[in-house]
Amino acid sequence: MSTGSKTLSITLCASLAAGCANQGVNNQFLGSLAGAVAGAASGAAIGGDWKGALVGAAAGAALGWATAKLLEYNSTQVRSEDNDRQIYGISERVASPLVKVRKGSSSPAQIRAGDQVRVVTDYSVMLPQGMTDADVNESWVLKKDGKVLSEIPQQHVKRTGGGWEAIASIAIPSNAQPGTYVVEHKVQTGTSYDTDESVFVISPV
Amino acid sequence: MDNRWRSAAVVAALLVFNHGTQADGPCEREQSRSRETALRINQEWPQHPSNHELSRYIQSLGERLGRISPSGRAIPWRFSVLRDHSPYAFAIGSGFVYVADGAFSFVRNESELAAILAHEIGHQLAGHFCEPELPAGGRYDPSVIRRDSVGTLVQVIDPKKEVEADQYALDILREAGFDPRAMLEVAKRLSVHSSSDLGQPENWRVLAIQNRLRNSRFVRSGIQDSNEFRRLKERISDH
Repeated sequence: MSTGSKTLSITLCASLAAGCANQGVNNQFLGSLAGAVAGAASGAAIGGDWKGALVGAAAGAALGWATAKLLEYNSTQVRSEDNDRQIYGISERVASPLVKVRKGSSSPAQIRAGDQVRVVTDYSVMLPQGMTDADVNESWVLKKDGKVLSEIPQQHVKRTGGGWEAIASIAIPSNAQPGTYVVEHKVQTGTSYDTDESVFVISPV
Repeated sequence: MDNRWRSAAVVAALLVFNHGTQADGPCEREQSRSRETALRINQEWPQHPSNHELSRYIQSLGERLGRISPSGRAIPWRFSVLRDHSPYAFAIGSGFVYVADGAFSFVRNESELAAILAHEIGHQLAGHFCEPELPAGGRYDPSVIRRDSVGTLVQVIDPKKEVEADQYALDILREAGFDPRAMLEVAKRLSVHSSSDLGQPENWRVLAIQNRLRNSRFVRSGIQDSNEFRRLKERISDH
């Protein structure tokens, strides 16, 4: 841990202890609502994903795409909860589970149609006191020119707090058009979700 | 007259003369505290990038509401959209306001979304972030003040200040051309859902808003949602 991040952690901690009154005037309002309607919101979100998947499949089919195939999936914890807290200056426990994508990447940067692309999502899971793990959904969506081509089946996993890397190898259809493709990396736990994007290029044959 | 009612009435009366509390912008203590908190939120919370269409819309709507009053024009409003399907919002001072994108799914029209933002703006305009950290005596009265958590932030919820922020919000909504009754609708629906004090049938916030609406010429009708709001709400609902 660098001296800089140590200083930040201490400052934030002090700020929390002293700053309650300041934060306090925030919002009873929606803050208090959050827990009560979380279940309904999650349900709607799941419904949305399902609908999105259908739309995505239709758009992909229209563009001559077969479903991009998930060839391999694995995941590993890359940072402990303490590591994450030190690196990102997290001084207090969260009230409900939070996820934050630190980086989404795709490799190689340039491929040919019919090749594989490896997509990696590095993310943090933050858990409330007393909670040992949380249900997490990891997903990837392939897009080109703003249109959804294919959605890789979601991975439903249990995660302890800390940093995780989800790695998937995806087979790109042999009829894929040359150009720049965007991978949307998405992670969700409860109502908290985060996304990042990475790109790869399919070069002409 | 019930004590709670009396307080609410006093607050409402004071508000008429009280706009301009933050005419010189955020105070020094507020600035340093809110900067630290904003940094922390950036590290911990997933957010939509500032150039995302949702962020740009919220920033534009929030600024429009924030700049309605002369005192609000001195504040550098910074609205951020959190990635969370739960509907909530909070402010941390110095013009920083955070809204979860779940608020889009929760609201039924643009006036309701404006009401949520206006409430947060109300806290800022009322100078709530510039007050001493602890009241005289060094502690909060637990029978009145509630502590709650959002993310890793601790909120100390003072019903009087919530009512005060609502009252500011009513004025902002009216001046901005939104339906002020949206504030009441949002508060009522929250009270149905909430397990907090708001869940009680007679909570002061709803009553104070009703009282203010009754005594003012606030009623507007036929207000249309903007095309941008409709488009974004549809997009959020699809995800």
